[in-house]
Amino acid sequence: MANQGEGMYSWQGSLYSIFDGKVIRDLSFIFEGTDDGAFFYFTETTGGINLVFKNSTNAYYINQSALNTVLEITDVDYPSVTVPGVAYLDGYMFVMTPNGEIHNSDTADAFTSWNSLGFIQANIEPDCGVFIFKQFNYICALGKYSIEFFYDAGLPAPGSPLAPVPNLFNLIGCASARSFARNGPQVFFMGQTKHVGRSIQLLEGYQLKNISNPYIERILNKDNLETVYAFCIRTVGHSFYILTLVNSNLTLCYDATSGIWYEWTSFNGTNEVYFNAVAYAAHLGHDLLQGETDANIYDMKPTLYQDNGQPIYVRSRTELLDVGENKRKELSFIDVIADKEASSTLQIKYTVNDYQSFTAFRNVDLSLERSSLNRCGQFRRIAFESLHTSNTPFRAEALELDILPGSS
Amino acid sequence: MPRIRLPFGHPPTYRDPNRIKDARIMNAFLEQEYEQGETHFIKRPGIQIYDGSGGPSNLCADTDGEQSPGVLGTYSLASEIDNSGWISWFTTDQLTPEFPLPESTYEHSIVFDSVNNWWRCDTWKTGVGHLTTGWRFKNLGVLNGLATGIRAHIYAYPYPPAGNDLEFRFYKDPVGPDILSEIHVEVNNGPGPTIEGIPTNSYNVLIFPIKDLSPPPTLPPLYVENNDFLRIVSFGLFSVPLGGVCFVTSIEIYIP
Repeated sequence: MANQGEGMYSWQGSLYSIFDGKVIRDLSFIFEGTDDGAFFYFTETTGGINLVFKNSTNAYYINQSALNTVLEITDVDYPSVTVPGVAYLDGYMFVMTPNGEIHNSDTADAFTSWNSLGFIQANIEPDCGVFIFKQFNYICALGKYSIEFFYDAGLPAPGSPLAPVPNLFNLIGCASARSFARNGPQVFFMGQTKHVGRSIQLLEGYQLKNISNPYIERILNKDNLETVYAFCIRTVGHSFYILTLVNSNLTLCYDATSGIWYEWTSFNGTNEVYFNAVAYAAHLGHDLLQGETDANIYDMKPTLYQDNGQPIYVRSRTELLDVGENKRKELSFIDVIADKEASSTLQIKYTVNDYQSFTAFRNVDLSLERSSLNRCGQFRRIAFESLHTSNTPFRAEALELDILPGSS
Repeated sequence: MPRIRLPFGHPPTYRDPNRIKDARIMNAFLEQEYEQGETHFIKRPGIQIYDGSGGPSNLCADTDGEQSPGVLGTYSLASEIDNSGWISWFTTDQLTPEFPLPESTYEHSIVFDSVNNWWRCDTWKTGVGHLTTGWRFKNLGVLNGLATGIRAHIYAYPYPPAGNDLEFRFYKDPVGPDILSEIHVEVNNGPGPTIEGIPTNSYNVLIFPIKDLSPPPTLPPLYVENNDFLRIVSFGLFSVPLGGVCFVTSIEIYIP
C-alpha cells in the first residue's frame, strides 16, 4: 500500500520512521530497504550504540557514529524469513523463524554475526512461531497456540545460550502478530487457543489475564484479521491499548487504567473511519503516532480538540432505560450536566423503539447556565445518543432526566 | 417521579451484526472523580501533524526583513514520499556550506534561517578583479545507485538590486571538470514568495536523469554507482559579477 506506515522509533534524539521500506530520519530520507510489506521492529544494542530494525526478510542497523547511514545485516546465517518481533538480551539479538526456531547473534554485541547452530526450538507445543519479544529477563516465543519462555542459561557457543523455563509455559497463543503491543511491563496481544474464539490477553509479569469481555470477543471473532494494527499510548493519566481491525473498520481502545473498552475513530473529511494510526513512539516529550498511509507523523496532545483540523466525533449511546417499569412515562426535561464551555454544543437524540429509529438531533448549548432540552415526549423504554464535535474541551457527568408518570 | 441521573454512555456492547443496538462510547474515556466518585465522560486528546521539535518549521515568506514565526504542524513526510519520486535528501539545516569558495574575491554571507528553514546566500561587490564568487554545499552524500535524479530548489531575486542572475551547478566531487550539470539548467517554476518586499522566482536546478557530463567522454545516463571514484555530489551557487541573493530551500533526489 502506498506510503504504508511500517513503524517508527526514537533514538539518539532523532525520530526514525519507515514508510514503504523507506527510512526517514526526522524529515529526511536516508535509505530505502527491502519492503516486504511487513512492519519493522526495533531494538538497540548495549549502551544504545546501535539501532537495529527488521522486518520479515531483512535486518538493518545504524551506528551512533553515522546517524544517516543504514547498513544491512548480511551474514548468510541470519534467517531468511523471520516472524515479527526482535529481542535483545545480554548482548545477544534474538529473532524467531516461522517454525519456532529462536536464532541468536554472536555475543558481545556482535549482532551482525550469526552462526547456523545458534538457535533453540520452541517445541513444548508443536505450533508455529508468531511473535518474539522480551519480558523482564526472559525471551518469549509466542506461538499460534502457546507461549514459551526462555532464559539466558549461559550455554556455550556455537549453540544457543538459552534454555526453556517449562513452568511458565501456557496454552494461549497469538491470533495476529500485529495485535502485539507493549506498555512497559504490560504486554497485550490477541490470544487464541485451539478452541474457536479470540480474546485480548494482558501479560503482566508472567501471568496472562483475559481483558476482553463477551462483546469485544464477538467483534474480534467477526474480523478476518487480514490487516490489524496495535500500539499502546499513555496520555492524560490513562494507559490505552489501541487495536484497529481494518476489515471491521473499527478501532477498539482498552483503558488499562480503568479496565473499560471504548471505540476511537478518525473523521477523514467524508466519513468516520477507524483511527488513523499504526505505530507509536515517545519522542522528545511528544506522543507521536504514525499515520496509516498519509505519510504523516502526528502529535497527540490533551490540549487539542480536533484531529488535524477535522472534528472528533465524540459519541455516547446509552443502554435502554425503563425506570423499573414498562408503563408509559413522560420526559419533560433533559439536563446535560457538563463543563461550561463557550462555543460548545452537544447534540442529543433518543430512541423509544429499541434502537430501530432515533429522533433527529437537538442541540444543547453547553455555554448556558442551564443546558437542557424540554418537551421530549413519552416513552416506555428509552436510550440516548449524544454527539459532540465542537473544537472545545468536553467533559460531561450525566444526563439528568425529569420524568413524570404517564398513562399505562 | 424523581429525577434520574443517567450514566453518560456505556462501553461497546456487540448485540447484533449491524451493531445498531449497541451502547457505545466513542472517542472518549471515563474517569472517576477524585472526591465525589462521580464518573466523568471525557473527550479523548486530539492530534495534529508533528511540528518537528516543538518550534516553527514551516517554510514561510519573510516579507519584512524580520524573522516571522512559521506555521506549526508541518511534520508531514508526504512530500518526501508522495510517490512522485522526489524526496528530500537532507533537510536544509543538515547542509554544511563551504564558504567562501577558494576562487572567490567577493564579499559573502551565507546564513541558515531556522525560522524559514532556508539558507540565505548573499554576495556583493567590494572591488574589482574577480570572475566568479559563490558558495557551495559540499559532499552532500553518496548517491551510489540510490537515485537517478537530483535537484535543488531555490528562491532567487530574478534581478537583484545590485547583482545579476545567479548560476547553479551540481558537481561530482572533487570539484573540477566533473560537473554534473550544465550551467543554467534551472527550471523556472514561476513566482515565488515575496521576500523582504522583493518578488522572487522559484527555481529547480535539475539533473534528471543523472548523467556524467564530464569531458571526455560524455557517458549515457549514468547511475553514478558505475563511476568508481566520483560518487559524492556538491551543489554550488555562483554570481557573475555583481552579486545577488538567493534562498536554498531543499535538495532532493529522485528515486523511481
